[in-house]
Amino acid sequence: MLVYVNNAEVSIFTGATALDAVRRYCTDAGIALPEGELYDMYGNVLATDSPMTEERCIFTYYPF
Amino acid sequence: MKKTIFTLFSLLGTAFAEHVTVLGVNDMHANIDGMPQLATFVKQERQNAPGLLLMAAGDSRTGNPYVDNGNRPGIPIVTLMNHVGFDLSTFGNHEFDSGAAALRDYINAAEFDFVCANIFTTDTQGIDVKPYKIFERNGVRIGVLGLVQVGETGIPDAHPDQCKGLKFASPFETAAYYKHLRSFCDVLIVLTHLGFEDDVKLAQMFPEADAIIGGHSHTRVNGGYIMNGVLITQAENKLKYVTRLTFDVEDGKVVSKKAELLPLKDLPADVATIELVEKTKSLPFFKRQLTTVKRGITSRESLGCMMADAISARAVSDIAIVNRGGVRLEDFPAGPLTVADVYRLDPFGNAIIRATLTGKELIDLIESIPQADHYGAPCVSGMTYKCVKPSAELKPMRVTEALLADGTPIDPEARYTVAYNSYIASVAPAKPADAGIAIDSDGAECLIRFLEKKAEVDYEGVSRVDTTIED
Repeated sequence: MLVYVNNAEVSIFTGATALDAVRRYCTDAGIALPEGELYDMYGNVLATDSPMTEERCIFTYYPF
Repeated sequence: MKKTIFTLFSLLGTAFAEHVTVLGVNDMHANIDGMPQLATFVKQERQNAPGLLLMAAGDSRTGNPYVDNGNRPGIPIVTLMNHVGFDLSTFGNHEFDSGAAALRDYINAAEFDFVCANIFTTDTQGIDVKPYKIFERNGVRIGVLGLVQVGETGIPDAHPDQCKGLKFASPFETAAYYKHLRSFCDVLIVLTHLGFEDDVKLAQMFPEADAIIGGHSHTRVNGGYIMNGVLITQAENKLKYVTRLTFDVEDGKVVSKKAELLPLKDLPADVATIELVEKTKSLPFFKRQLTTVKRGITSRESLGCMMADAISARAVSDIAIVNRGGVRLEDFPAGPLTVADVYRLDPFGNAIIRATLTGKELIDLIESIPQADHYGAPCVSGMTYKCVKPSAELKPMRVTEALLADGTPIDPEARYTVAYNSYIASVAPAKPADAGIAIDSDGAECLIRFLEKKAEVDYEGVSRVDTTIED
């Protein structure tokens, strides 16, 4: 399925968690896994095991 | 004078307001260790508000083998919820993880009700779930409608086999049929397991609700989020927080409402609840012998082969891959192998993914895994391979020959079902076209199911990878 991490499209397996998506994002981008919390598009903090759904947008920094 | 009269009426108005307190938790995921703090909190709150309602927004179970893998899956968490005094719950997708019969047992063990409007069951299953419940507290009618998420396949995110005989409707279409509840209630709450983003969508089409107590997305909603006049809450997961919602009701209408997110971890633990938790942990589950190891296993690779065989069997795949860093024991002695040993061998709880890969994608994936997992060539099931690893650490491993278990060469163009864990799927640089789908088991569960069917296992000396170190 396709999800978005920091507005970048990420292809990840169905059933992935927010942490899975961020790891895939970092692998694709060739960057280290960032420290700190994850956020949804409303600025709420997410648990790392938050289940991802198709086209969900999450952020590794507070985007607002 | 006018000001005096206004103040007097204001005071009278306040005097007639009824206060309703509702506590919401979600996605406890069988975190029984958080229950003693929740019990303390609820006791304190009930001293101030004896009529408060305590509700769970689903996924109370799944996430702890003490709760999920005993003879009666999920029952230990229901027992604790009874003890703490829950008033109501809806279903999460994980309430369906053990099938309809276990769900019936789960519901029957609860001393509180479940509400869910978008599930339909047959009479023969004996599962009787009401769409909503109306409580009365000090003359105030509090209606609670339940809704569970439904995925693209028409069922919640659970294994289809476990949802057999159950039917589900869209939560959004279902909610539209219950707008009339507004006229029967002074306070209308929707107890959902949809995820925060879908709760926002629900609020846009269901302004009749005063509040949504949500779950599923493990979102920490601090202080509530207002959409279309609806107060949306969610308390992350695993009993880190509880949400306290308060409503002031005058003449059958909510005149003010607020939500507070309150942390639980620093509260003192309730002693009686600790005793119940310890009793749950004393169940013989972890000591259960699954099989006997015939000869002591002396290498990580042989243990990895056993794990890969277990994953392949559970995922029904042609091939399975286990990264060596995912094998957490170096060896294992001859003799009994218990459930506790499985969790020492694979403590991560990583989901298992099944994907369809071409032979070329399979080899690319195997070659790329050591770039992220620095323990060496991955262990496999259903195949063998030879590889060359340059001694220079940064140079990638190359697969020089790959055969299926029957000795047939792996065809770069052919397609194979391949199972591997979510860590590999996330960190290996290779990206197969099919990103795959998570099956309903993690690595440990695959091992338990695989080993418990065998009286004896003999993996000593099993090696499916031939590695040459190149200067």
